[in-house]
Formats: sequence, structure tokens, C-alpha cells
Amino acid sequence: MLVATAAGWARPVARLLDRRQLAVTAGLWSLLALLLAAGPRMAHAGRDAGMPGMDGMAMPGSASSGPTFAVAFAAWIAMAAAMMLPGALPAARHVAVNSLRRRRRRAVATFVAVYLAMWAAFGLLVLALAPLWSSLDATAVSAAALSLAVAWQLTPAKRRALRGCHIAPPLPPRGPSATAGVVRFALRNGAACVGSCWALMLGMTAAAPAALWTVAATGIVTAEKLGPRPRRTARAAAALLAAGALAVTAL
Amino acid sequence: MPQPSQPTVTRRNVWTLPSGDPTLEEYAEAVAIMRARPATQVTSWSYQAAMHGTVATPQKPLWNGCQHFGWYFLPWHRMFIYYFEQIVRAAVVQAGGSPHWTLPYWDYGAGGQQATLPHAFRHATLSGGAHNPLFVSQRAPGINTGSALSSAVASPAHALSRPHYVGVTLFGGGQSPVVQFDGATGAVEQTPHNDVHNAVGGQSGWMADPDRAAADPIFWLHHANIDRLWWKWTGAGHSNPTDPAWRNQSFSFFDAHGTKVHKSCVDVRLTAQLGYTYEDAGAQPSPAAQPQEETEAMSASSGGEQPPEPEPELLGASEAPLQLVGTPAAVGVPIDHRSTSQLARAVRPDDPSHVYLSIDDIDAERNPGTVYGVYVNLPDGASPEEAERHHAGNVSFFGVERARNPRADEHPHSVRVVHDITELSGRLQAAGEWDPQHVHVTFRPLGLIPPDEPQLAHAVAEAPSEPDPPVTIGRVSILSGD
Repeated sequence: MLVATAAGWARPVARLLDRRQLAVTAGLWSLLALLLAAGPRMAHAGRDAGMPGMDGMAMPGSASSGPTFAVAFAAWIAMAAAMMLPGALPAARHVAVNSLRRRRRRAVATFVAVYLAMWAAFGLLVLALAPLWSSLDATAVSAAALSLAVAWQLTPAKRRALRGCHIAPPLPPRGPSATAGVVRFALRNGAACVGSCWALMLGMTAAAPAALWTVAATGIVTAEKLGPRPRRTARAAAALLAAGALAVTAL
Repeated sequence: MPQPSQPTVTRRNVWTLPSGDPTLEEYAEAVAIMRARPATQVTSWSYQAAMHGTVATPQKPLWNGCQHFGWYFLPWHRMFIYYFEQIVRAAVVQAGGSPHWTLPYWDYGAGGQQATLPHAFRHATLSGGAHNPLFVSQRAPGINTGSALSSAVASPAHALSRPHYVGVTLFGGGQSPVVQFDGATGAVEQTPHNDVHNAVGGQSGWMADPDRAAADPIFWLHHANIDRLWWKWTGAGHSNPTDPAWRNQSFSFFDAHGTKVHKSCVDVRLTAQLGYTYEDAGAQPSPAAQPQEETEAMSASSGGEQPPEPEPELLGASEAPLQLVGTPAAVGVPIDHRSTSQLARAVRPDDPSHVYLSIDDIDAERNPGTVYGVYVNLPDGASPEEAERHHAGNVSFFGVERARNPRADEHPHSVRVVHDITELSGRLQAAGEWDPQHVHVTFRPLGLIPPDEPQLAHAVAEAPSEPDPPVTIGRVSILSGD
């Protein structure tokens, strides 16, 4: 089912995004790869911030130097941008083509900033709550995080949130109401996106090895938002996550 | 390129069938046979209708497969009625009828009597008193008593004049994914397709509801006509899409044996590939008379290939949503002060730019079944004759509830309808009725025409006794592009 699903959405995704958007996606995913390669430093930051999943990024011999909550937060925002913005490109394009030319750059920048602020707010919450589970057994935390992600994947609320990611309302053309319209759209779109993907992001953060789950979560988020057949994709993702939870427990 | 087979059967005009021709009687018998089949049988009436759309659950194979508001609309429906025709033909043969039975088409765009529902579909009982299988009571008031579709609703003239296939203002619709309802309706899908669905179905009739439309026997004659319009457009030398995403996209159906079959768009781009053609007394003789494959090849080699569709630029938009409830309504579209010169330039006859009127973010809980004419800078109280001069196109809402709330496993879509108003705005400019700083857009409901009244194209519908279920137009905008 996973292979069929992947093959099913790869072509429509490529068709949906134009060349510029594909280039942006490639850039963002390169950033993600760099972040994963820079795992050791993030691991220290994550450990100090109480994020056990980030231990999975730690490499032998990594030095400990100045890990702070701020570094972990910055890393979170960068990863959220790399993982989530490709799926938000159609919404950003909606803002661009529905804005007057003189407002276009400002409108897209406003959309991206507010959209990322939603993910930043969620990141703050996760980082603040992380100490609650940082002292628990890592295997149990991983299995629980993945199980939570599986359960959320199968709820009607998840389906509603994913649908919300595709609602693109009209934008007022001029004046302060134009900016307010973009902010409102970004808040709604960002809220829908956080609502759709929060459990996946939490699972990625809490489960080990984090690098593996980051890549998996990126694929799932992109497939769900840009690919066809969202229900089938969400179920396939749930199956993948459930297999991960079992593997974590068994190994 | 595969060699097309020679046309072997001809689909004929339902209004000009010879006296005593058994086609409609055989159709009625076949409908009765198919209705009597178990609903689980793929060649039953209800199963075939559900392949277009249904509210029934659980989902059965190939249900809710229809393709609308995009470039797969024409090929999917061509395949759908092709296999349906085979299923009906087999039922006709089962009843002792002709093995060469073909689906007739309803050419409502011809006007006059042909703009009314064919008699065989209007009456609840047959001459002997038996139930008429072609009759459906769930149609718009007046349709079953001979009211006519206005030419503003039924005429394919604008669609047939579109030079290319791919694009939201062009013949076949914009690029779209494989979904039941996307947001890229083309010219022929809007008028006459969507408009006739609404005009025949009305507020609560089957034809206005994609989940019930194919259960009305007239649905298939309506779609035979839409298919004929594609045949006619292609036969006039126009090219179908060459994009592999369109050509190679395949869809599945059931044949007369109940076997699942598959066809790609490239396999159905010409009717000759499927072994049928249309009689069309009004067709232009020279290009349409040529073999279509040859015509297509000629048009491609002579530069008929469609250039890439540019993204038009927003010049101005209405400031607040507009609600339509079955009565005339209007909205102002202020043009941005930095865009007025661009708009003034675009309406000049020597400028290559196009001007577009876009009706954005159309949303409704359910389709009210009303067709609205959309007019630019129409004076208040303008007569139907005057309205024709300001007509930009129509908007109607067949399928709008499914776009936002799809039954199939797909994402929701915003609905918009776009009209190319380059020529219209140029005419208004020449008449001194065009202001590049402000465009006024009016929506007027177009009614059915009772049998004893003149067939005015833009006759305004009488105000409904109860307001229509509301439709919200999120924004009306003016755009320009090459």
C-alpha cells in the first residue's frame, strides 16, 4: 500500500508545483538535510531542553558547547520551515496571484511569517513541555509518541484539519484590509496545518532515532497535503507509524 | 499515433428522428430493464448513475468517479456515455430491438422547439397508460410542460469559438488533478453543460445534483450533446491537449458484460477511435467533413499547438462578498490606481493583452439551480435586448457543494468561474461605456421561457416566492494577461 501510495502522489505533486516551487522545495529539503547532518549540536541543545528524541541525532565524539533553549528553538523553526513550507506553497501561491503586483512580495512574506509563527508557537509549547517526558524511558516515550501520532492520523478531527489546509478564501485587494486578509488566511491555514500535523511533529520530536522520523514525517506531511487521496495517504501513514512503534518496542 | 477505426454508427438528433423511429421506445425499454436489475449489478441503472455520483454508502467500485471543473471533464464523460451506450444497446437487443442502437443527442442550442425537453421525456405515462421510464418528475417547474431553455443558457456558440483547449476561459478547462470537482471549469463545461444541468434540474431536481443527475434519462442525451460539441470543435481544426498528463491519464468503467475496462484520454480524443460519429446538419461543411485525425494533424502542423497559459495579473477586486438569492444583484470592482493605465491599454483593439472577469470563491451549502447571466456595466433596469450587449457569460452552481465537500477521497477545492471579456470591454470602450477605474458587474437570474412567450435570450427570471438557498461569491475581480 505504501509503495502504491507513494507512486500515486509523486506525479501529481510534481504537476502541482511549478519549477520555482520545486526549486524552493529542493532548497528547503537541502536545509533539512543540513540540519540533520548538524545533529550533534542540536542533540546537545535538545538534551538540555529536555527533548530525548534529539539524542538520536547525536554522533560519537560530539562536543558539548553552549546548548541552550534558544538554539533548540531556532532549530525547531528551521526544521518546521523545511518540513512544512513545501506543503504550504500552493497557499503561498494563492496569496501571490490574488494580490496586486505592488503588494505581492509583502503579501507572500506576511503569509510565510505568520504561518511559521504558528509553528513557532507550537514549538515553544513542545519545548516547554518536553521536560515532562525527558526523564522517562526513551523506548517507552518513542513508542507512546508514535502511538499518539497513529491515533491522531485516524481521527475525524485530523481529516477536518487536513481539509482546512486546502481552503483558500478570497483576499481583499487594497489597504489595511488586504494585509489583514493575508494575516487571517495565514492564521487559518497555519492553524489547520498545525491541527493536521501536530502529533506527527511531536512524534518526530520525541521518538528516536529522530533523524529517521524527521525524514518520514516530512514525506508524510508533503504526501498528505499535496498528493491525491488524502484519506488513503493518512491511513498509509498511520500504518507506517504503527510499524515504527512496534519496531521501537521490539528492538 | 494509432490509426482510428472507421465510424460505424451515428448518433442522431433526438428532435429530428424520423417519424416511427424506434430509438426512444427502445431507450425506454432498456431503461426499464436496467432499473429492474439488482442495484449491485454494475450494468443496472442505479449503479451506472452512482458511477457519476451518489450519496449511497458504502462506496462500491468506480462510484463517484465523475470529473468536473477541469480538463478531464470531456474525456471522462465521453468514456462514460460510450460504455453506457453499449450497456443500453445490449439491453435493447435483449428486448428484441436493434443491435445498432445509438444514443441520441439533445441539441438545445438549436433554439425553437429544440430548446424544449423532447416530448418522449415529458409525460408520466405512455399512450397505453403504462409508466413512462423516460419521465422524471424531479425536474425544474416548466421543463416537463414545454418551457424552453433560453439561448443565453443553451447556446454553445461562445464555447465553440474558443481557439484552444486548455485554460479556464478556453474550450476544455484548465489543468486539473484527477478529482470529481476541481476549480478550473472551461467554456463548454460552463455553458451549456453546467447551465443546462441547472436549468433542467431547477432547485430540487435530479439534473442539478451531481449525485442524482445520471438517474434522469435526459442526462445521457445532454451529455451526448456535450460530446458532440467536442467532436464539432475538434472537427473544426482545433487541437486537443498534447500534455502527457492529459493524454496518458486513464479512467475505468464497466462494459456491457460487466467487465472492468480502462481507457486513456489519448484513446478517446476523436470519436472515430471509438467507432461512432454524429449527424450534424448545421456543421460547417469543409473542415468538419474531413477526417478528424487528419484535421488534428493538420492543425498541429500549421501552428495550432496551444502556447503555455500565462498567469493573469490582478488589477482590481470587489471589497466584500456578494450573496445571490435568486434576484438580480450587482457589485462594484474598483481598479487599483496603479493598474488603471494597464487596463485602459488592455482593452484597446491593437493590444494583445486579454481582460478577464473572475468570479472567485463560489460557495453554497447546496446548488439553488439558478443560472445567472453576468453583465459588465449594465444600466439599471436594462431590457433583455440591451443586456445581451453587456453579457460576459454565465455562472451556475452545478457541483459547487461537492467541490467544497467532496465525497470521493480527495481534497476540497475553491470554485471560480472566469470569463474572457477582452472583446466585450473593447466594445464598451468604443461605446463610451467603459471606465478603467471602476467596473460594475451585475448578476441576473435567467429563467425558462414558457411555451407562449418569445424566446428572449436574456429574459430575467421572475423573483422566486421564497429566496433561493444562498450562494456566496467571495470576490469578483478583473485581471489582465497575455
